[in-house]
Amino acid sequence: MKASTHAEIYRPFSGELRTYPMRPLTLALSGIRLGLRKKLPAFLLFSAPVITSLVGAIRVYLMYFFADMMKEEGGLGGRQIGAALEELLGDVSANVVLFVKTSSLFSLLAMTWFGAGMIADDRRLGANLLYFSRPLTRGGYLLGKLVGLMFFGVLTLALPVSVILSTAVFASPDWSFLLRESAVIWKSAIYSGVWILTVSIIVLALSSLVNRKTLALALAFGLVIVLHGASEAAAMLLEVSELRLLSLPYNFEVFADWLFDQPLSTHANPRYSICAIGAFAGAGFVLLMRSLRKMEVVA
Amino acid sequence: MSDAATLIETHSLGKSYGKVQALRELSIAIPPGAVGLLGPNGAGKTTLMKLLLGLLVPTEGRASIVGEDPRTRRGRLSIRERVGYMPEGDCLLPNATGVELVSMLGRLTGMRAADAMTRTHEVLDYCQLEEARYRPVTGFSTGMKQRLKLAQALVHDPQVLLLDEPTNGLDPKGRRQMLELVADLAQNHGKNVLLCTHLLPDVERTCESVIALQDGSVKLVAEVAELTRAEGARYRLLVIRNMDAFCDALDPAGVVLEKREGRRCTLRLPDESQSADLLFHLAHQSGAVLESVEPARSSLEEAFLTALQPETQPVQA
Repeated sequence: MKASTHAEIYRPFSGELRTYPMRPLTLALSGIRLGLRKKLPAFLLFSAPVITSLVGAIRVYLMYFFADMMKEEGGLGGRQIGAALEELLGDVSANVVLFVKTSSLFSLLAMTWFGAGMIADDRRLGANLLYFSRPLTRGGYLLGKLVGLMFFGVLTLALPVSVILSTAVFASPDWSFLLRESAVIWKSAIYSGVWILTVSIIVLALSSLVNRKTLALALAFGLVIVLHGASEAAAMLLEVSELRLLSLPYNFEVFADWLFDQPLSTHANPRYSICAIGAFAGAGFVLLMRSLRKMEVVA
Repeated sequence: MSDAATLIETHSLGKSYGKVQALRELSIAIPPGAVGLLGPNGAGKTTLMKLLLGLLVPTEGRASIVGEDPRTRRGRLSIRERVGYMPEGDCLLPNATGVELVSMLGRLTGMRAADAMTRTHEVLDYCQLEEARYRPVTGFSTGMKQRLKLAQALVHDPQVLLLDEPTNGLDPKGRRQMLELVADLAQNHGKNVLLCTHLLPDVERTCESVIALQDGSVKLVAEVAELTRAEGARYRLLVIRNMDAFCDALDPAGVVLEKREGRRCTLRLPDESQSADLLFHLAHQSGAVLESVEPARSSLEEAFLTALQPETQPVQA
């Protein structure tokens, strides 16, 4: 029953419509909100980065804690225990690099899951008609989707990495990590940025090619896992190491080793791998723009 | 430049999808007000709407709506601020709630966050979705989804509404509610409505004029009132006794029996100036009892079917 005062009347809008530059942000926020609506996948996909970052942070903290304790206690026994622990736990920077590489894979899972349906579902439902019947440009739509997906990348890679780095900064004696190994911080930022942007573009491009999230998921995992396996096998069988450049994980592995000054494998060429990553991102971007043009204006 | 009295204008507009010609040489001028775009499935109605919004590129010719050309980027953006579009398909995001969807689309049109939220609640109230506004769209009935689509088209208070099959899939009650909303918007709130449908009664009930399309061409442009006007010399009768004797008495008096269905018949008097008294006189003579006598109106359906006859040239009423 409705109150007697209630009247369903049409009220004209007295405000004004702005040339609103942050339209993509509205779209991004909507994508994030809808992505997080299903609790179980979100819980499963975020629990791995959370656990890893907690373990990583504790490990980094313990390294500094034991190093500090041994320094204070001194003595042969203390130094021996310290050396043994150092050998067991390794160098802080190497731990950060290992953590970045591991988290990238969790991030890939999460970004693929959340991004696969972002454009495919719009295509299937025809929601692009709702968006493009507004003053929203193709660029705005792309930016909205990209920012939305990159947010999940930040949650699953950049945020855990920053937790580890912050632990290292605050746990290190006399800010030694910040003063002596600050390069690891900005290198981690660069690696995370390149990873998140490239994966976002590729996942959205695949999502824009099909009408179903499941198909986009299959395409993404096919591109990453099947192509990785196939290129690795082909490179070994044909003894042509350049075939490994077809694998996105391989290229990022080489890129990470080069960026963090880690020893490179014999067949790795960082320059080629960086070009291959650029080619993946470029091809994804071209595909994406082509699909979005079709979604906005069917010529 | 388009005429100030013209809301939508097309000149030799054509659109083909490969070998299929969806629209051909379409030249129409649609005045402000409520206009029905009628036609069977595949007539080119939705294509015309998408062309007007710049969601499709014409193969030939040009179109303008609210004085803007949808082929240019600037024109498209301006049109989309001033036009509300209700698509035909089920285009709603299933996980979103009504409030989320409408307010997000309001913001995408350029409304401030607070304005968009206030306006969302107003239009959802208006579209009778007040209690369902926080429910995910996936649990909406077809009628609620249609009303939500209307709400999203209205959120920025557009000058023109392009409604693509708004009563599609609705039960009689839902259809009545939807038509009441459309009629209210057009008649009481000055909205210009282009109602695309294949249901004649929808147009008859809500629109002032009608454009009929078939195979991508215009077959009829007319005022609804003109098409459904009472014709002085034609009457519809319900005869409850001595129907045969009554029919026999018509011919000698010069009255033409146009149609007879059971106890109902449609008659045309020999002279337009004659009144229905002649019919009562003939009924009295033949011993028939007339239960009802009413002036016959040429229905929109008749006009529409006549217009869609093969080899019919476009009709301008």
